[in-house]
Amino acid sequence: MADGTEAVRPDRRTILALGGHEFSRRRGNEALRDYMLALAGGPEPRICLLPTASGDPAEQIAAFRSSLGGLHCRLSHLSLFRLEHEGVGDLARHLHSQDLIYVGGGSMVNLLAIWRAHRLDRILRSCWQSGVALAGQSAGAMCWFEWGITRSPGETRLAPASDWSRGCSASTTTVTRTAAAACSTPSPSEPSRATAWTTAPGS
Amino acid sequence: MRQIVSFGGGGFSMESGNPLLDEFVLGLTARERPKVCFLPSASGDADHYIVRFYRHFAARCEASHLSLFRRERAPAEPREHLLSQDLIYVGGGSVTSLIGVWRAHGIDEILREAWERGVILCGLSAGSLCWFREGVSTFHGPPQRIEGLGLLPWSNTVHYSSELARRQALFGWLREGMAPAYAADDGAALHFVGEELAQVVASRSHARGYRVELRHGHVVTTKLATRYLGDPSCVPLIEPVAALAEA
Repeated sequence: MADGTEAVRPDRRTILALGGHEFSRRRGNEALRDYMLALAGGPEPRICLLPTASGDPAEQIAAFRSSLGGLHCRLSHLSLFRLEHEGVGDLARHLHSQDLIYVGGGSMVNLLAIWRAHRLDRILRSCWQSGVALAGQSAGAMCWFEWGITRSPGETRLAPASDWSRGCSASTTTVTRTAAAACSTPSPSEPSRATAWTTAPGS
Repeated sequence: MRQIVSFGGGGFSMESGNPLLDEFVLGLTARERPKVCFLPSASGDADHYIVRFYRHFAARCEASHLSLFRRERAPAEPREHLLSQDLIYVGGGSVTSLIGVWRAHGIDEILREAWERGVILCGLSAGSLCWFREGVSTFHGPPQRIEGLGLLPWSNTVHYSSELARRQALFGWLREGMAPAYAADDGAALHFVGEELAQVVASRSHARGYRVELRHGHVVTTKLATRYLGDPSCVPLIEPVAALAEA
């Protein structure tokens, strides 16, 4: 397992963008989950869920904990909407101490706006650079790219995602080498995204 | 007339069985069946919060809500919808997340326009802090100084008497030049007409509003005359202006 992991993280900066993967809907087919766990590495990886894109719904948090609960992981989640009885304390310190950060689906526009308001975008970039693996599905996949095809505004459209690239071209190069400069999820099941993709300027 | 009612804490989501603050804001609309739109953005559009809003308001209002997480289920034209309301009611939660989401969708500009056109704005906790130039939030533990929409040129602090850390943080920031603050206890509401405070009302007999400001280098807290809404015969309560010692 370690060999396979090393093959995709030559410089330890890792992003796993899932086209569509809800923990609660994939029972019986856990290949992506297992692959993600391998990226996290270690005998008892620390994995933190960021359910921001859906407004921190209890169902998404429960599905995450249910799927990974029995697998020797140290799980946590970080809410940016609700006061938690067991808070994680300092956000930066908590996120830096993780092996993998998983971002759930929802509204990409809201996700990025809220992260920026809490300065979480900078913290996540710093985590990525220091070797914390980043993963996510749908909005949680597109957020790592420069652009994404999103339905957040109510209609399908191309929207700027992460602005990590601005002023830091090295990271962009690394990100785009692993996939593409823009991301759209999940494409075949939602034809409107494919249309937005092909009609986008510069596509 | 531009009106904002800021609850220190209270209303349907915090005071089950005590409808006094909600009745007060509905009364300001002077409509028999006012149009009221709920903005639950600060809670991440939490379903249970939206359900509770309808449970309390649907029977006597034209109640609606605007979701910014599920825009496909929201009114197609948020600007037209918000401008057509009599009252916009903002729920509690994280004020930082609230302002971030509003700016991403242009709701901040629409709310300013609604206010200028006479739509009454109200809210509790994060839904109070958001209207001011700055507010004190304790959402992530240690108090944070948060920039609001700035419709009111003051600072704001909520849950005032119940949270010592907020008061202490406010005093420090006032010394650093933060704008004079209006604060409210749980159960008290600050009613602004234009940028100025018009009155303080309360759903609990002991709840109060406060003005907190720097005078000659010292933080001075002035307890404001507060009208208890539970006693119809109660005329506006005039208390001696008490300059309280710093905590």
